[in-house]
Amino acid sequence: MKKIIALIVIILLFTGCTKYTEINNLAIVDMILLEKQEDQYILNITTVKGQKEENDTGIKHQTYHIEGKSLGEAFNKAEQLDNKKTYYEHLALIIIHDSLLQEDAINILDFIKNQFPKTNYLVLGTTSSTTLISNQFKGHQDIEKFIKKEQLENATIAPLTFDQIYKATLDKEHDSFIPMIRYQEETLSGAGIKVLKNNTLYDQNMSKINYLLNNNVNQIPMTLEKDNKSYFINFDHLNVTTSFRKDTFTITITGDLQSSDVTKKEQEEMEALLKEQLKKEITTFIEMEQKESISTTNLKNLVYLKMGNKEKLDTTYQKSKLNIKINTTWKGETIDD
Amino acid sequence: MTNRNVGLLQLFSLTFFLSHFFFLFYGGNIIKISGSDTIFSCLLGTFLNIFLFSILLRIRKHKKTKSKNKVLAIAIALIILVTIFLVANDTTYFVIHHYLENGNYFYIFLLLLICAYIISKRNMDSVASLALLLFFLFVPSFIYNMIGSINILDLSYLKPPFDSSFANVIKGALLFSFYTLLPLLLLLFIPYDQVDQKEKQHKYLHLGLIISNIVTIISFMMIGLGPSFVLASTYQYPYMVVINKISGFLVFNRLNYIFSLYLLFDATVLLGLLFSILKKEGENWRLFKKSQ
Repeated sequence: MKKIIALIVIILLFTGCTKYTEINNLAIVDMILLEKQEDQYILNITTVKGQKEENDTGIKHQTYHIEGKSLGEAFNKAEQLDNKKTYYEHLALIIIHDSLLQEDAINILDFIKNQFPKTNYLVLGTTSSTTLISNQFKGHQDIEKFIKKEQLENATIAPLTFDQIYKATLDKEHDSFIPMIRYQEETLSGAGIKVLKNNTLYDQNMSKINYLLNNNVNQIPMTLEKDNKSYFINFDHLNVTTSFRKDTFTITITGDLQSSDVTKKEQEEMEALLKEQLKKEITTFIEMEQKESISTTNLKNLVYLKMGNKEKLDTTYQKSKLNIKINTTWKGETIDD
Repeated sequence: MTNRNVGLLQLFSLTFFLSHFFFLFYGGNIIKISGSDTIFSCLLGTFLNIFLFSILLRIRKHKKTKSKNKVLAIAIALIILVTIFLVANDTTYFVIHHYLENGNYFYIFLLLLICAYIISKRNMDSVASLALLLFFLFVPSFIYNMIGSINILDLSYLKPPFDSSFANVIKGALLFSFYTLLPLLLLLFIPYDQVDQKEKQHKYLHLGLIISNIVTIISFMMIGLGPSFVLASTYQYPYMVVINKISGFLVFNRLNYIFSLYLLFDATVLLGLLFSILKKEGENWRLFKKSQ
């Protein structure tokens, strides 16, 4: 009996993984860009180039342009690229053109979820040509660097993974959104966020408030004007908590203020100005969302959590008041008077 | 070979893995029924389990050790064979889905069965000893995953109690109880007298069940507070969504899949026990036929 078992085990060891593909025969996908032009679905796939040429430094990428009458057909054509089997396990970024988001964003996201079950890749939207972006940016790293830089410097964009976007589409008390980018005159820039429910595009300022309230950004740069003079203040180490009680949303923001433009004498005044400006922007943002009964933040869910039922949820959400508390501390060196 | 007694800790570990088995493969069904009230269903199910398990243990205490009914013996053997096939099938699909994408189903299936057979080659107490050893590996892996999931907690998808209907919570609780207690029926094949310090065994058995249920509830909480129940319900193996997102410490960040292998311990112990029971029932039947 032992010999039979040993024989079976040995035979099994010889079989190995029968569908195994050598790593050199794999097209390792780094980035995918989806677009629709007229009736054609365009799929731009950026893969990592396996073999380095002489004197090469860094990772090389290769882009493939595939068209199909449907997304399924396009991905089917993409199963083999240059006689290599397409391998999606290292997918890092998906960029979806606005044409697809306008048409049927939820179905596109469902398709992506079924095609790529692992959800750790980033998702962005764009109004620019995906072919242009894929030709200009050979890998996801450059785009990711841009997003992190923008997040740090301007707080107008934040890296969101697929599951963060997808779960909002499934939840009735949340409205999902996708960060948008634009490629124009050889420069990549943030283009706000696209709310999928009603296809609205929020501008950079609204996007900044959205990211703040969702705790997607740790700092917000603010430029204040006073007496024809501009003051740049960095509001960082941010933490935002929201609560709902007695028909009022209470938003509490804590953070540190840092500025080289503000003297010690001016601190109190600038702090008050900053708080006033920020409160105004947040109020405008939330009132706009309440009017449309949209909630890209957690506010509607908070109402539901408090009420315990969905009766009059929308009405309560729309009619709720706002109470914003901003707690700040000045940090770092300021200029003396 | 002489039948050695099963130790109390071994019995505890066996109970733990048997009642925890369903979580990886069938936990998604509870989420689909109860939705955001999955935790309530599990808590309710746990209370039900304690009550029903006490009844099961009483039956076990007074059960006759050797079966003399031919039809019953054949029925038991068939049920065990079908269970072995189902468990091995589900485990193979999971392994292919998450670890060995290019693996051949048949060979992985066969390897699983061979492993289970080798585990069962000695007596039932060796399966129980393996369960104890695996329990000591399970605990640090589970703690690691728990700590790693702190980073992915997102309270913005919390829902009020009974977001789904009360009937769904009850259905979820009953399903939880069914899934947890069904494998524990195999404890009927470990005779009451074949345990060290038999007067204390009920305490250890209950402890195994309760700790297993607590671990399951914590795992469901990690799903609910991490990716959220609404997202997890769209996946066949919801807990793997948490595994995907867990950030480790330094180099462990790349080893998440290795640290998730503890999820297969339940199936290993269950398959080993099933083979062991099949072998033991066969021996008992042969002895009974000889004595006639």
